[in-house]
Amino acid sequence: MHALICDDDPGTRLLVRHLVVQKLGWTVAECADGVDALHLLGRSTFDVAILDIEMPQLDGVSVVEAIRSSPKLRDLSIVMLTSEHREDVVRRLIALRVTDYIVKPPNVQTTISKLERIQQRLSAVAPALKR
Amino acid sequence: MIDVVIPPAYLDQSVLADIRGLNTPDEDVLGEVISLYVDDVPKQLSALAAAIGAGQTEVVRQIAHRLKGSSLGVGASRMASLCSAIECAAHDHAIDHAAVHAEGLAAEFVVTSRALEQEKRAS
Repeated sequence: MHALICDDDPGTRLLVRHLVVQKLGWTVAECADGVDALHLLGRSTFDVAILDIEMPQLDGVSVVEAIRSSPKLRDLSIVMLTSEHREDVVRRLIALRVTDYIVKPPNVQTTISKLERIQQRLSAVAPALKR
Repeated sequence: MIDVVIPPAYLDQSVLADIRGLNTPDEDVLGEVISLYVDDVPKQLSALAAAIGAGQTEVVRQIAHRLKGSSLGVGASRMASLCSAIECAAHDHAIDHAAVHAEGLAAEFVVTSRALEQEKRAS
């Protein structure tokens, strides 16, 4: 599994990176802004994008909109990192088929459970697609 | 100078324990996260003061929101509450209220950074 972690807070990126690499054995790429996230998503193949909602230049909601409107990326699993509780933002993200949420501060066990669930779902889908 | 010991309960110990659980014999993850936070906050506080001075409420809200997230990430709940108050004040264009809370935030950081340095030494 290969994950993109995008958050403008370096501490959050560091923590999520350690968590994903150590506890799940995934590989990761990181960036601090939505513009860089779209560049990386266009250049490499990722299984999951873990995105902060509020970032400079291009926010997480705009990144999700771009992902869902891209033929190559539209089915990508997306997990939002958030301390955001604004109802309009949450409604928009649900409409955009966000896979899950991690509320800041990211709890290690909860985060692992959520990401493992995505990994299991992707593992179950992958053999079916090969048939 | 008197070396004041900040009580552990000043920070959310459940958050710190969670991060400490990621420490390995080779890597002090909690220490790294704390260092990033303690280095970053003064820059954010300066940017916040400048934005308040310029009356840029949206920039104030964005900085406060980011600081809230990073403060929650190191168990600095008091910092996060003040950031939340600044965020609300900026959202309501109440720049004077934001300024008052920002002064409180700067003072709070003095104590919080000491408490975090204690945790770093203990990790």
